[in-house]
Amino acid sequence: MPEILFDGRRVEVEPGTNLVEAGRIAGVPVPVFCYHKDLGAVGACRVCACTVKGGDGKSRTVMACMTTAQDGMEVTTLDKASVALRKYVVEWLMVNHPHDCPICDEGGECQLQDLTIACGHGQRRVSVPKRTFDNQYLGEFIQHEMNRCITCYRCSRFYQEYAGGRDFSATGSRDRVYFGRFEPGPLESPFSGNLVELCPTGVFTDKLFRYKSRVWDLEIGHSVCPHCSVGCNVHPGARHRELQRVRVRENPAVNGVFLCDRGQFGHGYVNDPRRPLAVRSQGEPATWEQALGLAGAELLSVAHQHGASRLAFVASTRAAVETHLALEALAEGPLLGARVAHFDDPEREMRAIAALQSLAAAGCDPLEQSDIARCDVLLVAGTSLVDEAPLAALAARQVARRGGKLFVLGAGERYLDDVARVAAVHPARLAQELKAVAAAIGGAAGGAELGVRATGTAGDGAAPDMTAAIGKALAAAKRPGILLGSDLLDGPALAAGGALAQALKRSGASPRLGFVFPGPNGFGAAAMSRGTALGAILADLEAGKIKAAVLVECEGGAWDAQQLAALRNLELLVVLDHLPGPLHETAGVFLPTTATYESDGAFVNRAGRLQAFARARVPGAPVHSLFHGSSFPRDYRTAPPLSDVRMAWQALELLREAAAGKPAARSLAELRAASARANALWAPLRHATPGTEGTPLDLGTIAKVDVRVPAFAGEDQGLAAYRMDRTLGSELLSRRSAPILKMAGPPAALISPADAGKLGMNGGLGLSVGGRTIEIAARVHDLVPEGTLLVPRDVEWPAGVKQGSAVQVAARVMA
Amino acid sequence: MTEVLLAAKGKDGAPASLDEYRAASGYEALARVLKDMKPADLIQIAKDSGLRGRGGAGFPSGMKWSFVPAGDKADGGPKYLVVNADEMEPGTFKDRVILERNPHILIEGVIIAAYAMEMTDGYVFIRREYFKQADILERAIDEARAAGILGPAVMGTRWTFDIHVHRSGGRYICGEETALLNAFEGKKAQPRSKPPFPAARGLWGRPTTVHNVETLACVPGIARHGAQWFKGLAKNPEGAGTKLYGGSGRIERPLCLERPIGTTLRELLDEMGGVRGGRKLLGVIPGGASTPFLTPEHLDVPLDFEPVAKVGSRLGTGTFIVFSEDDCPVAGTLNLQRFFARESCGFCTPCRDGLPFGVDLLERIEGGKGTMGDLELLDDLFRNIGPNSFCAHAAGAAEPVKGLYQHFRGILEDHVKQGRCPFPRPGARELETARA
Repeated sequence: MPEILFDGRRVEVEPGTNLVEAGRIAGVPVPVFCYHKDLGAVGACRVCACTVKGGDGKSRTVMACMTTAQDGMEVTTLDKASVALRKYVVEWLMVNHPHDCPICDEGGECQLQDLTIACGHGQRRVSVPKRTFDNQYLGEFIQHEMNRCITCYRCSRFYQEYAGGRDFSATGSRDRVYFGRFEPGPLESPFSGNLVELCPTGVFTDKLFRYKSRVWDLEIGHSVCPHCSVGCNVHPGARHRELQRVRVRENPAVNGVFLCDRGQFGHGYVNDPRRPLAVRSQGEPATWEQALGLAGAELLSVAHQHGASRLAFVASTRAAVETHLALEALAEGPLLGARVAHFDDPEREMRAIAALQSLAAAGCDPLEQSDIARCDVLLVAGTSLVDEAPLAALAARQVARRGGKLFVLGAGERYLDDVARVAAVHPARLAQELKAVAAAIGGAAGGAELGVRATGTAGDGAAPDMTAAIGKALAAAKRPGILLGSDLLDGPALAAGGALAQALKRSGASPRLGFVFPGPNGFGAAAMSRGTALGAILADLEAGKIKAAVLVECEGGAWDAQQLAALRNLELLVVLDHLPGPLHETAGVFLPTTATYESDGAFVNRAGRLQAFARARVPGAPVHSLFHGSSFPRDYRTAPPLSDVRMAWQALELLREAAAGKPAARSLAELRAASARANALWAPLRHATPGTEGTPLDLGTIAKVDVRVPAFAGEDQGLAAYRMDRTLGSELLSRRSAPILKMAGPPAALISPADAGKLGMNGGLGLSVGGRTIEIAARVHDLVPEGTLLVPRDVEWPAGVKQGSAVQVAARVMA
Repeated sequence: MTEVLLAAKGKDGAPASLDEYRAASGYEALARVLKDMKPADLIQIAKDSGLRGRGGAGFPSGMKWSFVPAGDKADGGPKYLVVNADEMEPGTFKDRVILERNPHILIEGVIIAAYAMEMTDGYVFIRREYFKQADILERAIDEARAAGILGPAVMGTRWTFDIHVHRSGGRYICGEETALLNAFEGKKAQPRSKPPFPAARGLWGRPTTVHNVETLACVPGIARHGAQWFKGLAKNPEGAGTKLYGGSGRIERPLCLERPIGTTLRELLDEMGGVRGGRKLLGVIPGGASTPFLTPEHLDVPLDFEPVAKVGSRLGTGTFIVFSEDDCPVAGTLNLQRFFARESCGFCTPCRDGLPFGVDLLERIEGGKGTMGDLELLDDLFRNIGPNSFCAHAAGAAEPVKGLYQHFRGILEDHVKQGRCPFPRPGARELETARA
């Protein structure tokens, strides 16, 4: 291990460490602009200059980012030459910089500001006119202000090299280098939001946050993104009771320093003016005491009269761990026997539980987010990662960039297809393909021996040489990884995925296995489920056997008309949520709850990592929405109006207290401690702290649960419809945000070229499914397997239609 | 003297055809090499010959050839010889003369050098504005192909080798070898950091050697007549070979002449009719914009790499620009700095933003608005720009400023003291170019 002297401090570093990182280890912050630990060192800005005395005793000025620490090196950053050069670099950057801090959003968190002050620059010694640029419209998320550019190339390096985007780059030369799109228009990459954080000046800023606040005025929390199961860490920022922006928070174990656009710009639902913020009881405004009193008494009454099994408690995968735990606690004491489900969608419930069982049974290490990029061979199967778990897609791309092998077996891949070997596999065939890969690991001659139909076309399956290649590569890999979806997997495929990991393990490798789960807490919800409870609950609801229900952060989209109608006939329907919708309107008792960024709680991400979050703001209506005009309302109260919103787990605890009497409503710490005591799985909850890296759950403590997920109907069923997320527009929370919807555009189904040809499709389709006719735009995509139709989840779909059902399709002309 | 590089003559000033080239013993060297020599032998001959690169840097060519992995050190994949025909150095117009008069000598030089380094393909990266010269070269290549000198069986051997011409999209930085490779690959014309050097990882990541046109034109002679012969052509003891010298600027007859290397400035000025109008010599920029001034005290210095370096300048391309007593060296330097600032690729801060700073200072000084503090600042500025940039472009820009301070400090101070440029302005308009 090389040992160096850095500004007089002796440090030992790993071989290959550059001097910026060595400085960090030594506690010396070497200034940088173009260097970024994930984008690499390019040596463009020259601000990291330092002086190095090598073994020959000669001193020379070097760029810290471009210099590897060698044993015996003496590095100094404070010598006259380095200081003078850094001062010059800042002065040179100031030749053209507009100095528009007073109107620039970056102010207060601007690396250029910081370094300009640090280098003592204050006087302009040059008289050239500053070069200026025209800005481009780059979409609804990113504001462009090129005059501020210091040409560090971070944006184009990230956008093109790291994220694989093709519509944005550096053009031009000399002091007129321009970073922009080939023509004005929305940036195509779903990772464009990272430009805001990466840009050391204010060239790329958050359009949603523009001119709203200065960073030092914000209340900033340590939270976790609620828009998918990756669990990226975020810093929501609020001011005057308005959530104003979301920024990435670094977590080396999960998202590193990156975020996707869905997470960064999908927060409009928090300030949605339609958001219900008031308690309602029996159709009228009420106080919490009144509502809780009524609900508690009713629940108790139903339990006494009809038995607790007539009570149904349902939460969804966007509810925090503590909310699910409080819901379980509600079904104790006098309400013991109440039916509890942790999912609001029966298809997703069974798949998530099966995925978790497969993961637990495989006995491998989980494929954490931070493990993905480190794989030398990665198999992605049954998911379009960029649509279901975007940051996982970004990490998967790095496998290929680092010289590893990336394979995708799935439907609709549209992001990794330029760096991976991809085969479009019909979801009904995925199980077979995975089995063929497992067989190839054992050294078998190949997929053909298993009776896998070898067609060799991309249309309906992987060629046998591809499954053999995947098996061979995984078996020979030092760090093999397998990442499977869940929405598009049937029971046999979910099992085959786990079996594949086991086969790898038996061959002597150390594979890491992961699944994509629905929602930010799908893993947690699955871990708490003792079976597929929701299906039975919905059946009983329809049959009139449920008398009262408590629905927490549920969305009725997966419930059919009869089930929704049955809700109206309940003796008591208690709804807790922050989203408006039909359930909120139907509720006998409505209790407004907080959104994630206003809550304390925890999620479990798709790899089983428990991450706690703390609220950024006190909930309530934004102050500016309460008055019209320029001054605050002169209204003397003890609390601002529309601010009496509770966290969901708090509300449930209060409800439990109202129903059962004791024990009294617990604090977060008490609730966590009690859960940890009751179940070894939740032991990490005791010490769960926001703002840390989180804690992996022990997969060995996950209870065995019996779950049966039917196989998808075979391929010869005409056109089978599979509902799938899309990066922007289908996720429940983010799609309430107007900019997200505008960037998403209207949904379009994806269809293979062959099927489109057979139908004579020309831009649109009419689907007959579940007794309804749905008109939808449609697009041809090469990597859609023949015989399938991929339908975005935001297309209104008749409830109860199983994933992969055959649909009748006719071409339609779209205007 | 016997011409070597321009020995073959075309009819009525046309480029020498294949037959005309053969008539001047063309392609005999190649035949001998293919028949009798091994690549390692050729590399040794090149080293012994003392051939140095004529693109500006003067790097020993034989040594450069030995950097390319060959024999069992090679991995069997493609290896590229790239000809740098991106002649854009201010004042330089010699490579075009070779292309216009004797293109086959370049072709033969490429093939022999490629043989020595066991290359698989040859590419010529030619400056955008050399439309005519690119056409001439392509026609010559076609001739060579038709005669079996290029293609699947070079001169009947089992070696496949061909040369393709690629026209640059423009801009001076493409003459920098790694920026050239990036531009060739369709990327932004920006230099790469070295290491890795092109010999290890060059064009498309493969071992690559980039050579100037004139350098390669020397190769057939060396291969045919040997290292001693080449050394013997020089006028000075440490030199080797002939050189295409050129003169422009305040010269009576701007010419490109092939002469033994080591010929002096005095001799060349004589041949070109001396300073125009019989005026006195102020100085010359000997070989391109990044070579510091030589003054009348250097008239008898042999124009070869070592001797010129010894007196604080560089031979560079060997095509000089003449300044007379009527020309202000400050204005001349300003002209060059505008060029360098305009041609910056924009990658690193000192060059991109520092060079325009320098232009601004020089404009102030030349316009009589400069202060003594500006003189200190200008000097200090370039001392910080030069060594701290990503590639040699800005370091090259610092050289004329260094020369200015070294030889013409008094003139600089006169600008400040008099509040104006002390030189008469008859030709000044020619030196001013609009700020691009």
